[in-house]
Amino acid sequence: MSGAAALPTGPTGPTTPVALLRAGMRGTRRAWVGLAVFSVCEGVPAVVTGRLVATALDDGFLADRPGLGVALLGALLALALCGALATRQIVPRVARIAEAQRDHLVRHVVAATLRSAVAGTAPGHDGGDAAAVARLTGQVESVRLTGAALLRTARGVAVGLVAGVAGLALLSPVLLALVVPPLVAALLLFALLLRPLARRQRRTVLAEEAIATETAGVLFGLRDVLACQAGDRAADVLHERIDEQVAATRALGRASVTRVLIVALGAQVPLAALLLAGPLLVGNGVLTAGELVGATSYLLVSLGPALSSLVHVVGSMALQLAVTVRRLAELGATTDAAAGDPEPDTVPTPLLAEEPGWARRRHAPARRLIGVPPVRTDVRARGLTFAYGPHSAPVVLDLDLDVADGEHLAVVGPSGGGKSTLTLLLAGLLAPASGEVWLGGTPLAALHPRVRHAAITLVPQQAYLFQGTVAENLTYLTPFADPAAMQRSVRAVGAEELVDGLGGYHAEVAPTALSAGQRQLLALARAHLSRARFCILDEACCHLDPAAEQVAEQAFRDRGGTLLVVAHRTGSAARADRVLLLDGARVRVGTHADLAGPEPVPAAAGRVRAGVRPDVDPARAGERASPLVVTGGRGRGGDRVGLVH
Amino acid sequence: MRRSSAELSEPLQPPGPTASRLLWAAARHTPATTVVSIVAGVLAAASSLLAPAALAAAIDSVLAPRAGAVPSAAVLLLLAVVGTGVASAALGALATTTGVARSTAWLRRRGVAGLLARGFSGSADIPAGDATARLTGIAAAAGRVPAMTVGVLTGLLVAVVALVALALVDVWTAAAVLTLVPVGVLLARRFARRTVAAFTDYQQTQAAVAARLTDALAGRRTIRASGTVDAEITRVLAPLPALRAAGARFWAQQRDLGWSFALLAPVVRIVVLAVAGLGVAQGRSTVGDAVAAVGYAELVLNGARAVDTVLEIAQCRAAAARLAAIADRPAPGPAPGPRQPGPADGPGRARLSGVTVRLGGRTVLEDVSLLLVPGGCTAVVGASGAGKTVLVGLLGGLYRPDEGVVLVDGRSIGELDAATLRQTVAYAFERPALPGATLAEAIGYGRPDADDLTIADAARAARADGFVDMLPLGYRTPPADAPLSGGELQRLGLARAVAQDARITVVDDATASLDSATEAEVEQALATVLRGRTRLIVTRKAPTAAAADRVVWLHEGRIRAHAPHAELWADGEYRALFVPAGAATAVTS
Repeated sequence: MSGAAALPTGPTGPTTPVALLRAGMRGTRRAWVGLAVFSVCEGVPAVVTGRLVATALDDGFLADRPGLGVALLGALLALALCGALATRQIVPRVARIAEAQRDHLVRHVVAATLRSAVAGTAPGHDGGDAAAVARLTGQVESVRLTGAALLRTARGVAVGLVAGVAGLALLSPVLLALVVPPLVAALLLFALLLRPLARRQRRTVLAEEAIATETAGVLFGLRDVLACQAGDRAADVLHERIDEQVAATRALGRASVTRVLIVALGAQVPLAALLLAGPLLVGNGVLTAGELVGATSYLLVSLGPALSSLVHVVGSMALQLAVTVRRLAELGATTDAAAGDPEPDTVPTPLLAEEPGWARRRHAPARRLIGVPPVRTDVRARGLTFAYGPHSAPVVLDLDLDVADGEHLAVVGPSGGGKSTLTLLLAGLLAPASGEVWLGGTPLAALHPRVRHAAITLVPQQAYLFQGTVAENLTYLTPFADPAAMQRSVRAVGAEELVDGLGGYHAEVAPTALSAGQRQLLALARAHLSRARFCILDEACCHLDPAAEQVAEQAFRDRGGTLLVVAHRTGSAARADRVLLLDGARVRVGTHADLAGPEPVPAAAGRVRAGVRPDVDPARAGERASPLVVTGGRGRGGDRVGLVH
Repeated sequence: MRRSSAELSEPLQPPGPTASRLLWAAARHTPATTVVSIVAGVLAAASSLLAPAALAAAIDSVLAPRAGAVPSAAVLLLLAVVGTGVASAALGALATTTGVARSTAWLRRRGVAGLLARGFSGSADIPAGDATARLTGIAAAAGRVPAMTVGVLTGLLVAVVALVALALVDVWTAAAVLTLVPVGVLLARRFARRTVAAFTDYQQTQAAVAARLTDALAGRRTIRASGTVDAEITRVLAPLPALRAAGARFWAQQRDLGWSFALLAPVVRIVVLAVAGLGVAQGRSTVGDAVAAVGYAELVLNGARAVDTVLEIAQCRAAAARLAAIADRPAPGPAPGPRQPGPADGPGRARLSGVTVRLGGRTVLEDVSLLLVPGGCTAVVGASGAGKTVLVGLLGGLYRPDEGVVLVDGRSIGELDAATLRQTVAYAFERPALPGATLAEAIGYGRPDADDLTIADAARAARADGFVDMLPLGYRTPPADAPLSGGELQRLGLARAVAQDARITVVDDATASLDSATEAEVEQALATVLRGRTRLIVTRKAPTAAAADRVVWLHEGRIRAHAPHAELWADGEYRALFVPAGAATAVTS
């Protein structure tokens, strides 16, 4: 994320698993160092165990000096105590590393999910990314626990292997010749096996995610599923996903059988070799009895469990960790491209670049942003054009618009006609493919995002309330508002009874317990309280009764500043100073009286396709109060349009 | 950190009998893998029990003065035992992973069935995000319990038999081990409870973060409009310190447990070695015996280490308890009897008699009696929160009456099977969800046998065909991939209701996002397509109410009037529901 004066955007998603893990390890260097030191402390006893045991047996118990034997074993006990104390120091350090990683991953998932959700350009369907929530509870948790277990076990494995081999060398170099080749062969085989195992592991992770996505779809749409009496059908689809997960796990399990064979190769084969060659070695004096016992002790207690642990536990944990971290890193990658606010120096303009000569991707040179809010709040748009995808017809096409300072403009039109898109464009939340918007004479793109957000408030149709007090919800846009102003706003929009019913300003809000109308009313009070001089209400009163809607709109009119209301009730349009009609073939602006009434619209020939400019109708161009170009737009043509009572 | 009621939706409870019942059932439903893993486990256990003795004999034979180059029988026996151990371990691993996968799958299916059986009103107490988490990660944790239990039991069995074998080799070492191992078990038990408590606490805090994220995602448009995404990220992450604290408690338990065992194991080993060594010195036992003693002591220790798995089992049982809350709780209301198909040619006469519905402690509908004339159009009006959605939801079984009955053609709704209900009631919602893999499937969701022509006709009637045709994949577009505005969503929901072709069609404010022109078109089209069907329309628009035959006026859960619009228009309060009046009436409930 760049930009001359970009907002502090917090952690952005790194795109590779290694980078993701590395970023999470910041600040844990001391823990790592401590971990290494205490691991060595823990491992030292293991190295000398075999030697001490062998000596105790050979020179102590077998030589009829039990006292010496017991003394040596006592020394071993003391060493073991040191090892246990070292273990006690290890767990907190592992915990520190695991917790730091978890914190980082939670931040990463939350930030990436929210940013990508917020940056979605379509004002379309809801349904939160519930899979992301499952990621939070499932995958991040898996990384935390698996990572910690991996750290603890891997150290033990490393210590065991190194100590075992070192101890064997200490006992007798001959043993190395017997033990090391099969061990190395086993390790090599395991390394070769890792890639196919990783593939199958990934398949299981993807299957899990598919289950999460499908489950979320059914549960968030449970009302619709049950209303269509389609519970069985939804369950069948879920069962399919569940079965795929079983199949993926079984495939992974089959591949894992080879692990057992690898452990047999590395641990049991040396033991067999040792015993088969034993008589020769002991008979020829190469090995003493004690050394033989010491060697079997190493194989049984150190090397065998270590190898088994490596292949079974560490291997699967490492795989699981790698696959999970990769999935989490992919989350960062897809959302890197979907930035939050459109950055002023590179304006990401969607799609129409394929249409030659029609519109072009615009990259404005980096320029300094204006940090001062505009004095006036008149809104001007010239040549606004926008479409959602390369296959969609433009939603807004070459639109010109003038809204005077302090004017109340209503926007009406059939759904899908681009009203919400227009509000996003006028608020500077979407970058147009071509054209520009000015607020108070300043281009929106040149305003610092913070100033822009302070100057323009957009209230969408779906009100956002979060778990917190009523006051916290109301002061969402203005954290330092004084209570008197808050009460004034609440009273102005007519939400006083509602707030009293909830239990006052310090009562907790449970968003799901409120009706849609109540939520909208609180959101309107919040917007009224804000300092913005340009307010856009995108069907923000649609759940209110007409009477309440009138009260709220009047409050916004009285508030001062420019008001733009996307209306779908005729009463709302009637109250405005002027009405902008966004409709398939035509865009018209005028007073309510101008636009109402029978207005024959010539039948347009089907839909407007991208790349075809409809002819300007000169008869219409000069009729309105403000300069206006009749443009095309998305939608149907050919019907009588007008405001029907 | 302040916690609201929604975050504490499930009180912390220890895993109780419900969780156990569920897990037993899961084990019973995966018999093959359970048996195989038990058999493999026993074989592996037997081989590991025989191994030390075989190893002892082998070592003794190797160290014997007359040992030659030919491997003795003892060595070969050892190799056979080890080989069996390897093979059974492989088999056991395969059986275990398959068993875990199947157990998890069974638990998930059970959870899904439980959720769907609770119905729409019964599922209101568990947020969808929480329920999703339970069916995914939590079910996976619970599914491991049967396999882990088998592992632990075989481990314990091995430990006991190893102890006996140790006693047979050398009584003194057995006595030594016997005094030390119970110490370890007691330690582990003490830590087990604390770890489970810490872990459950951790999970609750984690769920709090998840709930905040879900809320924020639902309000994405406001966040975008306000440019407050950074503040929102901070707000969602607010419980993170509490999460850290819960994690710290968990790790403290792990540390104490870990180092206790780290000390116990070498102590046991060394004591065994000392006692066995003394035995060798005194001529009581051979060197091989000493090795065997170490081997058996190792097995007994392994059994004690199985306590670690016991901890994990405890955690997973805590997870199973949360799953059981979904899967086991019976649906509220009277238990449904066997469902039968209803009369196929009934006129669709719906009657509510004395229906009372209570939700969340509030009486939403009280003593409502209503008869819907078949083939007629009835409007439902009322202030926000008066109970309109619940009233129309009764017909399709979305809400169940606490008192009274809902009848269609003389049969109670609760007795009819899904196919009949589908033909009886179709819904169009204001904010429809579109389940289905493609838009075509979404439109035909209420009518599994719908063909492409029916779907296209329905889309045309609802004026949804226009924008669908513009999409590159058209009707085959997955709903998640199609950028849809609120109005387009509503039209798809209407198309679905039209395609369902039911006797009663309920339109729950489903033209609210359409402006007057489109709405007029859609209503005209619906009137044509649905002519002769019973229509029930929840509306706030006066023209719609006027076009209906009669209007049901709901006021605070009761039917205040059931008359034509023209008759009611005289009442000022009635008018206030539609048209801006002089005095302001705010929206409360």
